[in-house]
Amino acid sequence: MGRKSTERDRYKDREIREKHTVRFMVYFQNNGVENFSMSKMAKDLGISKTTIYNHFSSKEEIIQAAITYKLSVIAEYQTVLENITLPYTERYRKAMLFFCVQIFDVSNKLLLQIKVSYPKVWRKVVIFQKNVMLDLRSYYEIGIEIGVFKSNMNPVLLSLDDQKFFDLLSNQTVLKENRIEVLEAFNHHYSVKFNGLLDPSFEMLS
Amino acid sequence: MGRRSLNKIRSSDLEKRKKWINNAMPYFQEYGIREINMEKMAEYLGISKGTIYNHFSSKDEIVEFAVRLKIDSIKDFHKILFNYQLGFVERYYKSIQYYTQQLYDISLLIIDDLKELYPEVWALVNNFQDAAMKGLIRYYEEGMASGNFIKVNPKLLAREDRLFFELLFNQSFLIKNNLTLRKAFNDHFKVKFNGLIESKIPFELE
Repeated sequence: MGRKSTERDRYKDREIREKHTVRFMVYFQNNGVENFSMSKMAKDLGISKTTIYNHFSSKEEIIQAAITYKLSVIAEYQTVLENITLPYTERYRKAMLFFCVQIFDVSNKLLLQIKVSYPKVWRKVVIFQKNVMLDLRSYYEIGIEIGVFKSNMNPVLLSLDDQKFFDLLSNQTVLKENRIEVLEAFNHHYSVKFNGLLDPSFEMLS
Repeated sequence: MGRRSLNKIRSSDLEKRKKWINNAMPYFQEYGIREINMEKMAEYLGISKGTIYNHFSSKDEIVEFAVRLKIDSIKDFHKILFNYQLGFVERYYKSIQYYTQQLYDISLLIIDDLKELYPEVWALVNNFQDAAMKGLIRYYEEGMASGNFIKVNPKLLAREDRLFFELLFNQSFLIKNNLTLRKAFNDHFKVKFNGLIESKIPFELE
């Protein structure tokens, strides 16, 4: 076998693995990872168990792959947040809208199950969340420095306020109970945060 | 657990209890509820254990009393929020400032212990928070109806306030970031009402 074809095989192998991973992630989003059984998942997804075992050696590996895949998708927000061709506020709006839509699929329930049963995978999630906070913090710091944002604001508080909002999305129930779509919630968060709640025509009564 | 409401207790007795609980708050704040015992509490207050037992039959009663006392004092924020003698923005500013100031002696440790060990008492806190949110929702709706606020979702606005209050329980976070309650509240207020973007003319309270 020539070197070239081995490369191609490996590539194909990776491709199949990735294709499965995407489906697994969707499956976990809907079913959680608690009481997760390989045979049941294989049956539900119409894949043979042998096929799964050809690519993954354990449950943990599957979950790890699915979460890693999801995180890599979410991480795309970074390119937008750092895209210097966009206006400064637009960078946030576009990047975080994408981020919010992505994380909305991942419920608190799923996260909690991972935290309890798969600490190794959970660690990845925590590191990821920390990095998001650092990115946002430096976004605000720079914004204050270049005068787009008001001086005197605390960048840590500003990023924490975002984190609280993300938690609210992952909680899902609050939005569902109030029949609010992710897009509406994000637009709300963005417009209040950046432009304030007061109507521009608000007149100060002194 | 004695389900006596505050106003059914003899007034001289009530004053004494209030004084002790207020004095013991720093102790609760530091050690949480799990670690409280009558002996240590008496020692901290400089009174005898017997004296405490004359007024409280058990630790459970102390915990419930302390929580009711705190809720009663925070509740007054509502009067300020709907004090129509004040300016519209001033109502929010003053009442939520009052609310946040009242949280100064509550720690995450207290909150976590309450949730875990006293779910019934925690339910009182939860109900209070729900009621507080209803008040805030009414305020926001009023502001939108009168055209002072842009039209966004009042429920989300109230939820954001609640998340902000919860953030303030985390005192180690505030200390680590060199934040006082006042600074945290002022930032929250400024961003919420005038937005983060620099160019707008800010609403200033004298």
